[in-house]
Amino acid sequence: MRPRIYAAVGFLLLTWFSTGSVLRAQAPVQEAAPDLDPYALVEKALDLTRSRSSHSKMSMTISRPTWQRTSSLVAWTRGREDSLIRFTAPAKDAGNALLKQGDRMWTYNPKLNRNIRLPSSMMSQSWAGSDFSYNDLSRSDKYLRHYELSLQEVTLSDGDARGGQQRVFTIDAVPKEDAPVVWGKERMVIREDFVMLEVTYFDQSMVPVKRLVSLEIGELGGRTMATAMRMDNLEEPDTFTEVRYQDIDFDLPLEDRLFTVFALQSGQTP
Amino acid sequence: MKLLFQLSIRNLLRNKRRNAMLLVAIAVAVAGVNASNTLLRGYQYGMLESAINNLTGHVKVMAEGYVDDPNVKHSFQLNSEQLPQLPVGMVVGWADRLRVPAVIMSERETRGIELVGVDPAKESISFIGEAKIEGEFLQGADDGRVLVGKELARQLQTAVGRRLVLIAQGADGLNRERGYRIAGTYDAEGTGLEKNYVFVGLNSLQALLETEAVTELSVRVDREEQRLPAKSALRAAFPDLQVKDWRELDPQVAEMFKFADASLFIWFFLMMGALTFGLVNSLIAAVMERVKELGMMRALGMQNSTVLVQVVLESIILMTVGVVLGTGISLLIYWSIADGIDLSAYAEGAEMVGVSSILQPVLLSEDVFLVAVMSIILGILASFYPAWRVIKIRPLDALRR
Amino acid sequence: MTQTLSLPVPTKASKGDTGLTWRLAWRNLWRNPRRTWLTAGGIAFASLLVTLSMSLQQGSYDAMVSSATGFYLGQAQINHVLYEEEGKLEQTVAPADELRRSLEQVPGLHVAPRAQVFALASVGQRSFGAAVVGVDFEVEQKLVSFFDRVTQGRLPVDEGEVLVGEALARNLGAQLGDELVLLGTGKEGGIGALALTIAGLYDSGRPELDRSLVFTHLASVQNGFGLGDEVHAMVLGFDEIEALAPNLPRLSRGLPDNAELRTWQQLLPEVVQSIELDRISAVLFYGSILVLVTFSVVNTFIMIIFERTREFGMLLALGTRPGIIMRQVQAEALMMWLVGTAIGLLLSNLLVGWAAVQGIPLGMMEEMAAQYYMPSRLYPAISLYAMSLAPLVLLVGTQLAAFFVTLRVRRLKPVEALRAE
Repeated sequence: MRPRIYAAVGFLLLTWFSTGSVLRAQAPVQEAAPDLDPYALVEKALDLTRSRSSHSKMSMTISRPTWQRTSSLVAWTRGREDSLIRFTAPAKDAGNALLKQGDRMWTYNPKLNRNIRLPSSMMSQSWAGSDFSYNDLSRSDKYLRHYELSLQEVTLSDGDARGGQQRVFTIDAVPKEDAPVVWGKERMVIREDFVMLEVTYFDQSMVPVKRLVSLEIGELGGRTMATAMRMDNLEEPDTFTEVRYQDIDFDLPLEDRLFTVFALQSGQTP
Repeated sequence: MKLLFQLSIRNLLRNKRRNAMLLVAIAVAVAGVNASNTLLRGYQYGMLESAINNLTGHVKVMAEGYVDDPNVKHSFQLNSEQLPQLPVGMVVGWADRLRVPAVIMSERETRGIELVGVDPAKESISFIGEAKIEGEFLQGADDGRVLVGKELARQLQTAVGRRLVLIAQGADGLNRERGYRIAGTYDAEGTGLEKNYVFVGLNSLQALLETEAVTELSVRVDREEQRLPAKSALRAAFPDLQVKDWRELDPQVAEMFKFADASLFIWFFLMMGALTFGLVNSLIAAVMERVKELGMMRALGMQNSTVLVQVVLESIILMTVGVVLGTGISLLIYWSIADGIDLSAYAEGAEMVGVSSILQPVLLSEDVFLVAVMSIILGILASFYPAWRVIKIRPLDALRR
Repeated sequence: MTQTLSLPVPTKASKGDTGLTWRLAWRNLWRNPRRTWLTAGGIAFASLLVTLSMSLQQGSYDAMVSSATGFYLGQAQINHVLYEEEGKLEQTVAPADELRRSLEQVPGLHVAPRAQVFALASVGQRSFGAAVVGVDFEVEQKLVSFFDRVTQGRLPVDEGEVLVGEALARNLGAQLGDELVLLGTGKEGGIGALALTIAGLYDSGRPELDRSLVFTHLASVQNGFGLGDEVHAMVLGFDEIEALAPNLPRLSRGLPDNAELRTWQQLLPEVVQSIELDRISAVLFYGSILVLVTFSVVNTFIMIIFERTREFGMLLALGTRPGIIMRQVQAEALMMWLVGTAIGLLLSNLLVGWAAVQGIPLGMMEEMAAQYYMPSRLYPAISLYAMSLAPLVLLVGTQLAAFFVTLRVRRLKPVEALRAE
């Protein structure tokens, strides 16, 4: 048993990517320029990927040296605390779901027709064999409490379709002394418009262990966000997990009872 | 009496070769028994030490239900006033600890372990107080760092100075997690302990779990027998709690301990048994050679009892010299192996039978004394038969020989 | 004073009569019965003690190995080469069925396949990490005693049932009949899940196993976690453990490329080592006893030589070569050894024979015995080695003893010797 511990900014980050449609529409790039306070920058990056609620469809591909496996998923989120992810394809995995409610997580399996509460000791295990752990999927911005952030450098991005360049900020997040974080450091690369381009996870001797990279950035659900991301295992060749969004809706009305254990089991969809 | 003594010595010297051989045999037997006793005792006490050092101590106080379910809810408050007054010198030390199961995580691995909150100053009574530390020992009960076994650090792929995340269940049943830096790694000469125990400052752990209680109080006494009075005193002082001694907590080791005592006796008798044949042979021969002489002395009025005493005395002198020689040799042997015999090539096997990988021989003066005394008694008994044989012969027949 | 000669007078007639040496040796022995009996007694004591101990010792080692291998790990295992170190789900041995059938061709060999997956075990609201092991219960029972330790209920009869350790059941708050859910990751990603009814609880005596291992049918695990015709271990056991070593080459030959065969010595190094440690201490023990008895023999012969100095002197004066005298004494030593060893071996064989049938109960050490892989009764091993080593050592010892003591004879000056008492 060799669990892989990946405390990535995982799915919640993916689902919460957004530049904030209102802000975007009203403000030019310059005004969205963040302060040089790294905390504010990161918080805004995280905030901008969140919305009051979201509903998305995506595909996940797990890749290994000898095999590859693609599945389809749907996900709902509400606020910072609640989310529900369900597999829709392939048939073998369809119906399997994961519910996060505040600090707690449950997993559901249709064959067993059972909800299982995840104990803390299992949180570092890999979810569905991917390079994301349950921890990754449960991360909330409370985590910012546990880090010291510092701005390392500012560069310019390549020109985009409209020829504009944006500033790109590299920020190091070092966990505080007694933070419940195993990493030595997390290095985040955030674009001026708050899109998270890359997060690299370092062990305590500063060896990079894994990296979450935004492969494609585009418009989806009315926002500019990363539409494809990859979590790379830097210690093993050809080992990574890719997630691609097909569709996403923000700020739709969601019922409270969607994020309950009952809903998890009964397979309710709004 | 002095005359008898001189007579005996003269007789002994008459047969230098034979008696020299006998002396060597006695010395070898005694040395052999003593030397192997030190090893046997070393094994026995090594086992005892391991059991006690393994955080058990001689006597332990715990809350009801803790043994079956080592949860922080089975804990108790301890004030120093509650400790019973025990005679000076009986208690070598005591340590209160908060011990709970926990999960420890590094960047790459997760393991289930036992997290032990300790006051490092008190831990001279357990293995951790004597273990080799790489890095630093915990500095006090407030130290918010951890001490991790060398083997566990290897499995977690971590090292001194790095942080690990620990998850444990608090007093309210909810999990708590926190990062802890590794102050040092310890080498306990046995991967079992190293893989299992992670030490942290007691106050620091209590703060994390939001409790002021401890789960155990371990007491170490000066001599093993003192565990009984210590146990009664502790039972009186803590009527609501479970107080057990190491024999109850570790019945298997207790059995082996008793078994070792029995082995010492068996071994002695077997060795001495082998010696006896030659001894008796020699004594009879010695006596039979002097049939004529003894016959003459008896004819001249020497009492039979005096003859008996003289023969026995001869045996005693022989035995005593042999015992002294043998004891001397065994002391030499003991001093040459006193540093301990290195069993690290057999580490897993040693761990399985409960000893550390260095076998430290133990020389108990009671053992040596007992061997000496019993050997001499054996010598006395062995000489009865020859003496009796000689007395049976009528002086007149003796003279005719 | 009349004195029978202890040696043949060298006449032409007696020169060719080797039987005479022995007859005389025998007669000389009995000139002093008490001394002979005591010396032979010592030899008997030593040979009895050492041969008996060695038989028991070997018997206990055999028992320990049998128990240890028969507990759970088996006499040998076939695993993927990386499995011992890394233990990953995809490190399997395949094709399992074919391999199993070809191994079963070996006479007396039982082959038990096992597939093991780490999963989350859950009953009701509580869950714990555990390892679910898929086995073939029927074959397992021929190989290991583990599945005889069912304390409640019974072994799973079909794929929907599971056997759970008592400690884990307690932690989960589970009882017989409850549903145990196992959730893990399948071999190539995806979710692996099983819902099984708890058919029985076991207590192996080792809490670290009880707390983490649950057992069900092999097919359940293979199907539930996306394994095909694959297993993580083929556990091997012969009816007679002695058959393992000679069959090793044959077993190693049929293996797939990425699989390796490990014997119990590699699986259980602690057993190998504790046997070694015990052997070493036994050697010290036996050595001491044998040395002591040899000393007594030396002593005896010193007395013999001393007693017959006059006689030897006379013989030397008559022209007997010292070598002849020495040979005669050696013959006496041999006879003494024979008498002692015969008695010792007789008693020893009787006792060993009796114990081999009855067994020696270990009494209160039984629980402890279980922990150290010992069975509840100890049977001695019937071994030529055990029976012959001590007598042979004693033979050499007594012959050397007689030899060195008798060397003096060479230096005897006949005139002085004749004057001796």
